[in-house]
Amino acid sequence: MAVETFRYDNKIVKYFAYATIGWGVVAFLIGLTIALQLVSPFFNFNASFLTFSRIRPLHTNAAIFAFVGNGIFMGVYYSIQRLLKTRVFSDLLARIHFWGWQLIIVSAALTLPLGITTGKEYAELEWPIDIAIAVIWVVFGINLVGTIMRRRERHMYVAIWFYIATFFTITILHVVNSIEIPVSLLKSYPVFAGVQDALVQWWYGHNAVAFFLTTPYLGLMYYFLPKAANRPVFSYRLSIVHFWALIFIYIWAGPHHLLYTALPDWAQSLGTTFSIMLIAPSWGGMLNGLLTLRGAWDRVRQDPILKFMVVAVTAYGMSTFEGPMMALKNVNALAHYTDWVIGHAHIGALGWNGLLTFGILYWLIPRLFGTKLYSVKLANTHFWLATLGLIFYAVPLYWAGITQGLMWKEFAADGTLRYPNFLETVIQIIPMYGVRAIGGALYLTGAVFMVYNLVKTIRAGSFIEEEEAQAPALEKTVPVSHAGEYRHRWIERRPVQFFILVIVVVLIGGLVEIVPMYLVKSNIPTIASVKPYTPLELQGRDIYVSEGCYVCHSQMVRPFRSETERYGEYSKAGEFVYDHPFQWGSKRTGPDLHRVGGKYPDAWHYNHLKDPGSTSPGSIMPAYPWLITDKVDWSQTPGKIRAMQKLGVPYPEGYDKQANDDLRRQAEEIVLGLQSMGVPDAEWDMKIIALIAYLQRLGTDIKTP
Amino acid sequence: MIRDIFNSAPHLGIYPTITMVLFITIFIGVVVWMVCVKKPYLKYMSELPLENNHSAKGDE
Repeated sequence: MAVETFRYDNKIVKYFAYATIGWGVVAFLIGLTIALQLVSPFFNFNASFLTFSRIRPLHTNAAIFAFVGNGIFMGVYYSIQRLLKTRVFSDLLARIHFWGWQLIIVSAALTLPLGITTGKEYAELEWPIDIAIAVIWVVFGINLVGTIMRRRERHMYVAIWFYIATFFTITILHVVNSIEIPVSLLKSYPVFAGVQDALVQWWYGHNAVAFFLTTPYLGLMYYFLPKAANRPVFSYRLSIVHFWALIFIYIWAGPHHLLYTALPDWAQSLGTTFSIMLIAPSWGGMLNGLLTLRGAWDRVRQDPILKFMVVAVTAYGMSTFEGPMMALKNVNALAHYTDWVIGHAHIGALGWNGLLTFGILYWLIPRLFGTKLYSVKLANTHFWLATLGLIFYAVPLYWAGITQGLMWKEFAADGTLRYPNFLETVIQIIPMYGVRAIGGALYLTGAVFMVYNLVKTIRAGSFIEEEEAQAPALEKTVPVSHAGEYRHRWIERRPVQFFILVIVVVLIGGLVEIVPMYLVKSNIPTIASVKPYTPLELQGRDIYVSEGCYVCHSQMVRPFRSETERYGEYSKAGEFVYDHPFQWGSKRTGPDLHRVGGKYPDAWHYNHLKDPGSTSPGSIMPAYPWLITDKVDWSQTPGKIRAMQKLGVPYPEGYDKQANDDLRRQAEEIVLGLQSMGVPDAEWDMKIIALIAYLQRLGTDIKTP
Repeated sequence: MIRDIFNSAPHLGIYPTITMVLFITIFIGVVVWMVCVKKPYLKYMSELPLENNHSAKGDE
């Protein structure tokens, strides 16, 4: 067989490497900013576009899709060319992929701080950007599949399996979770409501962690760890089981994000069961990574690249053990809605994704530039800053989470709540927020050291844009298996069968969860007294979503005595049937709001939103003065009503035409009430009036006296 | 346990049975696959990333 000469494209790898470095620093910086805002809201400098609730989604999007996303593409484009012994399928598609992805990130950076959001965690970007994501993701997929199809190496190494699973699963997740009806260019409503929306969202949210933050990085681990250690993976047999078990089990576990909520019990139990089962493949993978270094631990002491990778894989093991533990209902009862979850997420993000990315960058950049790393010592310093930063980040949050969770549940001897004022439990943990910010600052400092180190490395070398390689062409006919050959090749060397099997495997779990939710009507018992929102409440709800209130406030009273004592009657599935999107939230930096309706007078809300400290001294909630100066765009009301009607919300026929009259009437009533309570300057079309109307409606449909 | 979960969701009929069969089939499939894999192949595959390994200057 004639040997062919070809060239690897290093340029696209370099582009994505630069992007992951740059966006990484940005993501850490925004993270530090919001961490400081939890110590004192002073750090939002009274700017709406810097307020916690708006830029926390920007931080998560930047960390996940910009830092990790570009890290994935960097590693994938480098490794698939070499593993498959071919150039990337299309240089043009690779460029479109790169620039398209960066444009998406920039559009996220422009829209989220302006309050343009869908209000669904990790899927906040509005519908035009959702479409752009789908298009660019498919461009990546064509390049990935195209490269596989014209490979010169018949066998697909396990890293490529992980990339394939990533591509197909993220496509399915993104499309299903983004089905929405546009109301205007930058506003849409998801077609799902309430419980169904929650289930779809956390099926997406959980599996975005699985198939964006985990599987592609496992692929990178299986390629770059053996490269850096210069020895093969510990057990390729184990990697086969790791792959199939992981992609099969992961997809079922999403409902563990919704334990003790209004989600049906069977779905909750399914989530918990599969979460526990996930420990096996996750730890199999972790051990496979760590044991790859058997006999090379002396090198780990010297080599910062291996240090980064070892701690990254260990962090993967920690968070994949912790995750299933938190999915146990008794642990979840304490951990959910607290900072424990944030600590857990950052062991994964800063530890697993961050440190592995840094390790890969230190290995890759000198090779792309034909030189050696500028300073090993500086890389070692970065390693210690990042590791210490991780510890200083996570430990205080575990402490804070458990402390606050216990305080929420503690009763006094007379049977009343020991800490009835939610604020007490917040003030208790603010010092921990301070230590967490120090952890974040250490981590960011380490990353800045890396930027300096890599820039000096790049300047010392010269970029190898094209790298020549040789390999024999792939035979057109597949040799017939004979005795002693290996049966599993049937699937592994035939990409199309492989793609289909991967899709089938990941679809099963998703279908098991979601289909019954539609087939079994009794899953969501209807409640006759639950009525659609009035036009003013609907507008107020959109402001609630836009400002990102869900980032700090849940709307889900769990069926615990400690919660019904504090908030009122526990939440029922039937109360959310008109909620497009659901706003259950996942974190209580402030109290739950599902039963807040009627709890305080309108004037209290007005003053509280204008200056939280005036009603709640010591509160770390930011002030929202722009809700008073900004006006509701009531010209959109008819369109919003029509969109809701399309989604099945039973407004009367033709109601869109009279909706604004009702809106104004209700707003003026609130204004009159406010004037009688000593707020003379309120006007009917202020955003704050609509928001108050929504807050006062919350949970009142079935509210018991 | 799995049976209890499905029993608590009434009228699902054949649906859980199908998924359980698929679940078990895939797991048995992977185990059989793993057991059947031969060592020379594993060695070949695990060394794929190390081929054409080029080192950074100064690493040697």
